[in-house]
Amino acid sequence: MAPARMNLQQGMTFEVTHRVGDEVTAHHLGNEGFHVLATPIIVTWFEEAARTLAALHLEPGLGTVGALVTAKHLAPTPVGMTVRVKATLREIDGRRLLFDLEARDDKEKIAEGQNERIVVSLAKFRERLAQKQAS
Amino acid sequence: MSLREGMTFELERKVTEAELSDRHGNPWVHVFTTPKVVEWMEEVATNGVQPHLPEGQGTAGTVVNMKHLAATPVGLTVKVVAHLKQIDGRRLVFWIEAFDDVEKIAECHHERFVVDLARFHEKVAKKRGGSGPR
Repeated sequence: MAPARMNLQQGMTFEVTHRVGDEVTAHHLGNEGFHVLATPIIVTWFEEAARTLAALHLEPGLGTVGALVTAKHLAPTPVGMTVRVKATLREIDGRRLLFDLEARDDKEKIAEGQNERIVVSLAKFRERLAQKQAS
Repeated sequence: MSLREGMTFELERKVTEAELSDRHGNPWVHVFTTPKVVEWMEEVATNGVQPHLPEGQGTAGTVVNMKHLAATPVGLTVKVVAHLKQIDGRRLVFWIEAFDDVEKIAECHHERFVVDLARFHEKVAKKRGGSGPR
């Protein structure tokens, strides 16, 4: 896949904002008593920011899938706060995209990490998946 | 606490529509999402250690370092195995692997911190600027 089919450039950023409601707490995910933003939700928001940044600059028929995600959860965020997650495209290596991620709540930085995503042809991806399903 | 290095914890569950990428904002990528794999991995580690902790304590996730190796279509069963590698004071280090019916799909370095729930609530309430735990 030629990089020319995408207009992604190193240094591009994208931000998503989420309010922390009861449905995204660790308690809600089963870790009783922890009424704070859950780590897997931060991972979800990391991926959302990175994936959306990529999607905005890819041709139709292309998408990205997550290959690697890292997250350091630095501080707890109580229900009611707003969290901003910023993705920065750090590296483009053929079909491989590497993003830096950072999350902040109303008070402080709460998480940092990276997400590596691979650009895929959706048609080809579906074909391979169907093969696995049939195996 | 009765936690020992070398303990393993497991979970086995079928991948349903609810865990698919296109339900989580990645349209047309009809597979088990990376964050959901992370969620199941954390669940295994959390639920595994909880019975070994004294009343009033729990664990909070601090580090996730996960490689998603292969895509899993809906209908397959995923088995997640968490291995408690290291206990370093209140810090617990896990190596977690996930397999579907066909192959290994993910591996993860995961760390959790044992915390006193009352103190944790206090800290969070202070950050909220409000009163009382929630």
